Amino acid sequence: MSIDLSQFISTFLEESYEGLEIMESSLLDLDSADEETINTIFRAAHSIKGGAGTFGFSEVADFTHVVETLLDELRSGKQDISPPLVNLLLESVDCIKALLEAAQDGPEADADVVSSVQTRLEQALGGGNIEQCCSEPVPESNAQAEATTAVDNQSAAGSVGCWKITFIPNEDLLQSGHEPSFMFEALKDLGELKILPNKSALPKFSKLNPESIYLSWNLVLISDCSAEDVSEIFEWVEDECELVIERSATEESQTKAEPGWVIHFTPFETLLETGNEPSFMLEALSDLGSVDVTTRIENLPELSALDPEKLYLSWVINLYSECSEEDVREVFEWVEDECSLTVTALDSSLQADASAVETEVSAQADVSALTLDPQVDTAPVSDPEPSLETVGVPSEPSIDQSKVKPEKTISASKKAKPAAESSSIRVDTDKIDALINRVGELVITQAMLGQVGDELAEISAGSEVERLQAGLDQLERNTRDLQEDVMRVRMLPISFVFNRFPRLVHDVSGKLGKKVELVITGEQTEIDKTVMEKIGDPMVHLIRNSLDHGLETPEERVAAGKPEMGKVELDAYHQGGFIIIDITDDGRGLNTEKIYQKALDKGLITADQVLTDSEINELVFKPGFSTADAVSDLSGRGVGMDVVRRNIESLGGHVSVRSEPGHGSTFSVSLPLTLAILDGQLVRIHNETYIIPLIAIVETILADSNSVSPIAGENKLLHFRDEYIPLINLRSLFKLPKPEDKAESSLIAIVENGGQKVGLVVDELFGQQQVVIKSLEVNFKRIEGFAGATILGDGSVALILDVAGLMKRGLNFESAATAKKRNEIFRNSVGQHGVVA
Amino acid sequence: MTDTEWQQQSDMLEQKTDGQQYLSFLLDDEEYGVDILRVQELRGWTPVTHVPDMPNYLKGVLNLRGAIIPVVDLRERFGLEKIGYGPTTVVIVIKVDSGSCERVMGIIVDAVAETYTLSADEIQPAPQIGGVINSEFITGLVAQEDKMIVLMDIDELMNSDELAIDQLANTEV
Repeated sequence: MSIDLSQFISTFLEESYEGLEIMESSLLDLDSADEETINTIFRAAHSIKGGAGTFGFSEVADFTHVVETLLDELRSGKQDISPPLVNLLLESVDCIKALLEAAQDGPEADADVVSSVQTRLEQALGGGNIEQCCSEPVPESNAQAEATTAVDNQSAAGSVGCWKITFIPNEDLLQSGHEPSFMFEALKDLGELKILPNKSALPKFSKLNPESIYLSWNLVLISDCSAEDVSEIFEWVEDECELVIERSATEESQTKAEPGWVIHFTPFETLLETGNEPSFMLEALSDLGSVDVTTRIENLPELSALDPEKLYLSWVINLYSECSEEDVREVFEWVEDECSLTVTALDSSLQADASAVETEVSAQADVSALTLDPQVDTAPVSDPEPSLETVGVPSEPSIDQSKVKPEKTISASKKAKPAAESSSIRVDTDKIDALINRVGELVITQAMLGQVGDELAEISAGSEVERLQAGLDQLERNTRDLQEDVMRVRMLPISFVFNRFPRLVHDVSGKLGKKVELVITGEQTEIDKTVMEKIGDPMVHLIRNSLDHGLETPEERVAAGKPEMGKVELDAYHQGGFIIIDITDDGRGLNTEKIYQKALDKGLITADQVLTDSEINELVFKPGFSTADAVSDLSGRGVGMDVVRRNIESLGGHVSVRSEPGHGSTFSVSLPLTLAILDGQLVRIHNETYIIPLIAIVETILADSNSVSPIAGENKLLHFRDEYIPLINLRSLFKLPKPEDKAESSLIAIVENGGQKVGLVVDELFGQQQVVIKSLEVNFKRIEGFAGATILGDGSVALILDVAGLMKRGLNFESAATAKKRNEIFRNSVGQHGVVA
Repeated sequence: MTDTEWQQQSDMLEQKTDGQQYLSFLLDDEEYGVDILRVQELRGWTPVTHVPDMPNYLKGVLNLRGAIIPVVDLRERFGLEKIGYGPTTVVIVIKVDSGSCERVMGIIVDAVAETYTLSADEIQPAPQIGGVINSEFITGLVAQEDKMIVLMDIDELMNSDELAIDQLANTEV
């Protein structure tokens, strides 16, 4: 029974990315660190490492291991949290992300960057923690040296003989009637024995032949016996195994000489429910010194009866350390009411006891590791690895089984928790889009039925018709509710976008040498996923801009009588069917003189133009405008505010700026809640119905011919509220026949895009309604001037006008004359239009 | 498609299994054929929504069960005389391979005629002809009884001229 792991890989990757986000945001919080934050980061790193190991992403696992080790040092207080360290960890988060992406068929991670970060991480490690440094795959010079000295010191005290036996039986050893455990028993008669099985050759459970032997052993025998005594025991099997017997006095002496404690730790079953993790304690112990952990599994129930929230294991821990009993007890401080704990001094007799226990358990444990946990590789990080000191051979996997089971219990309890807490499911967005489309169809059908019902009511009366009408009304309500519900499925809190900004602010402010506090409010405001995906980049640009150009340096701020710490505020809220995102800084504000001069230099305005401050501020959104004196790494990389505005407007949104010199500026972005539905004004042109997006409409007016003045014959300007607004006659733009009767007055919808107003001349205004946007591109192509199409209640198609495109077509871009027509409106909502008859 | 037509079709399939099936339609007195596998459905004429500033032959767009599809008048596309749309006027909804995507489009024809199963050796190559309908749009000619049927390359035709996907516009998005 082999499980195909590949199906879980994508889940693993998704979870890992989430984990990385958690790490990143927690790291940024770390300035105000409490232990819980570090633990959160640690857990995230730990899960990534574990998963990566399981799925064979060894690069990720190795790298994360180093990160985790460093985090562990932070957690245990071995190292202090310092800004450079946080930066380093942030960089490692990036590296892990790159490695994961590479693992996911993405572009190769930059090996140089990764290895340099890894090297620096390893350099950051230390603080005298020998075990951990030694267990690092890459040597770490400083600690390595210490380790060597430690071993040297201890080797001096050796006296009793120690035999190191490597016993690798052939697979068919059992068939000739030999039994390794008997040999081990015999060895035990000679002296004290440590058995460290190596199960690296163990095949998959499905391929396991019960008559074969897959294990090999590293044995440490502490005894005064001769080499012959040892080899005699293996006499009968020497042709059927590989056997190496070496004398190694030094290692033995170390085990013997070191003082230590034997800890019997038997937690109550409910320990996990109080949020305690045995593995943390074991790791904490490993910080005190080298640790031998033996897991007792006697209480483990059948797999079927196993409650993942409960703890069935107990541990016998040999701690080789000079620490006091209090130090040991302190580790268990939080759980002392929830376990039985004995701590006794380690002496030879007890040690022998423990070894006996270990011997007994290890073979047994091996089997249970096999059945319980296919993820043997995912041993926890700070695996104590006493084998390194006591045996001196790379017997890393041998000790694993003692740790695997606590790990297993922990991971089970961990998984059970989120499942209980969050009741969300992952669904492919395609499925949701299909659902939304289907509901869109339903809305159209419902509208059509409603229309038929109305018509029917006009020509005939009666109770049936009334009942039909009532039913149709109900259908309409239900359909609308359904549509809203379905739309909400696509809505996500904007925190998904905001979450990346603390990091951005951290990095950018660091580079600029500015002190910045980022205040985020309204991050729970929901917005359509598609809008959210597209708003990220413009937002990044706006924030960079605020940091780079808006905020002053600390010195300038102090000189201006402001607090040294600058402030950037992000605020999101709903307003009239739109989501508004304000990016406010308390910096110097826009420099109107500089902007005016720059615009003049670039020929965007002419010298004789008189502009108000807000009109000048609007100029920053002009193409080709950038006030940065030098092209910096941060802003001014050729992508200006005009691109920001264009991107936002392509989403059907707006961006505007308010500024108060010396006090800061606010960029205000308003976005539609969804891209699938649009509030539209239905208008008639010739004999077709068109839809103008309501957000674009400033006002609709009935203008008499006096207020329309011609320019060079065809082009006309509307004099409206002290402004001259260019008119686009949609009939002529669409090359439709001119109306037969010359109208005295014309209906004009004044629309705004890119800060510019234009009057669209239409024949008739119908009602306003929500329409489902259908793409023209799917079966046809993009047509300039049209944002798409929709299906009206009668089943016919109506085209949705794209104001920006119409302006482009109708006005042949912005000429100098139209550029003059700046306006100062900072509109946040649609609520301002109305018909002035 | 009526039952008898299906019957005819299956009869033909039994007779010549190696051939390809074509649906033929009428424009004026001329008979044209398209690969039947490209035909999604046949619809009666219903008014379409005019799309401004498009060539005359592009009559507009249509709501095909929620999808917006463009409709082309083949008479006008080929520069034939315009006639009013009547009860026999048919919109053939076809699937067009447009390289990067498959588009569904409608073509307006006078009437649907027959289905034929034609083997490759029955199809003659098209001679070089110029004009509105040039030989690019024609895959071959077939003599059936005493008529000539022009087999159309629907992909070439429906991706030509104003119907082509505007690559530039796409990349801009």
